[in-house]
Amino acid sequence: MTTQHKKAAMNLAIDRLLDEQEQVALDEHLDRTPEDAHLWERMKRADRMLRTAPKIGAPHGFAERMMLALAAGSRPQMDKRLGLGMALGLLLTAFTAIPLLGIALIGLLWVVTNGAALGLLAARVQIGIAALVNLAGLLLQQVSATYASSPLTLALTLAIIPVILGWLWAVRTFATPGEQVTYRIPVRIAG
Amino acid sequence: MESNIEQALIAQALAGDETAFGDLIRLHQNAVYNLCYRMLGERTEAEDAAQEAFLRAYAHLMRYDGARSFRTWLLSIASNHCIDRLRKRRLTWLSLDEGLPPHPSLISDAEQPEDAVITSERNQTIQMMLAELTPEYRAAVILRYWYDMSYAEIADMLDTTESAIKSRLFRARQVLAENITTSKSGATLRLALEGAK
Repeated sequence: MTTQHKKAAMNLAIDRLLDEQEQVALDEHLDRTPEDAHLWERMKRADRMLRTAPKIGAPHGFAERMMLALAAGSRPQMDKRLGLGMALGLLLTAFTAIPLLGIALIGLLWVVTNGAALGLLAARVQIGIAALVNLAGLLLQQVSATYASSPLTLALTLAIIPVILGWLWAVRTFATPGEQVTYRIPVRIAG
Repeated sequence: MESNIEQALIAQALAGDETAFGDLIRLHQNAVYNLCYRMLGERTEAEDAAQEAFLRAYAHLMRYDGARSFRTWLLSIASNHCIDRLRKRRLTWLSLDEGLPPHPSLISDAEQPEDAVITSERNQTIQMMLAELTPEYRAAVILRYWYDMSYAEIADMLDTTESAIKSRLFRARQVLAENITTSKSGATLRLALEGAK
């Protein structure tokens, strides 16, 4: 009797599914092999114990508590209401935004099709960019002057970079959202 | 007859009748709760798991195949949910100040006359033995012993093959047999075995 066959036979015998011929073969094998016979005896004891183990009934009021949980968990209805609110909000936003977007589009078309207006717009954009470049230049000058007058400021600024990187790493590592846990409080219903 | 009533209740529940689902709960609460208790070994957690199993069944009722047994479908949801719970369970560290947990018979919520003590001790022993098994082996053993399911039915419920179930049952029985001889709580075990005779 191979190990595989022995395993299958013991299982079927425990479940009373072994035919007579196979049962005889198993009994003969167990007579010859005391080690397997010992295991077989222990398996039968465990089997007997499990077969006679009672079923544990649901606690008193379980169905009533379940009904409460079902009533409390009628989330689909709540979601429907939320969905309706969101749809109304979007509709209102669309009604407000469409006329504004229309006006902006008409203005843009007028500028693009009118040569003089286009020239004026280009000039204004050019002035704007020049002002921004000037501002950046001024800022850079101011910063280099500060660093030149006090080298400690530069050292502090450079020291902040690893601190920020470390903080970002810590936030990413430790602040990942955990599993959502739902707690239920058992409620006993009278009667 | 009972099956017809059950099918009618399912149809009503599908139409949105929560009371009909309540009747289905009453019909199957003991089977589902026992499975959860045997799987998890703790009454409060078993109730929570059973509740979750019913809620899942209610939420996915339209997926239920009427050709299958409703009880088997429910038990399948419950056993898979319990397996997931057991997998997620983490080690509980006891602080030295807290000391060891009380003896199982002291935390049992059952009445404690002599017979009840023996039954309770026996239950605890069975739970201790089941706790030695992996969640998958435990589910196979429970479905086989408490629900008298065939290998094929268990395989279908746990989404595996019949030969895998045979192998799990044999391994589980081997572990249980080994624990019968190596268990340190000899007195409890002797009581349990005497009760089983």
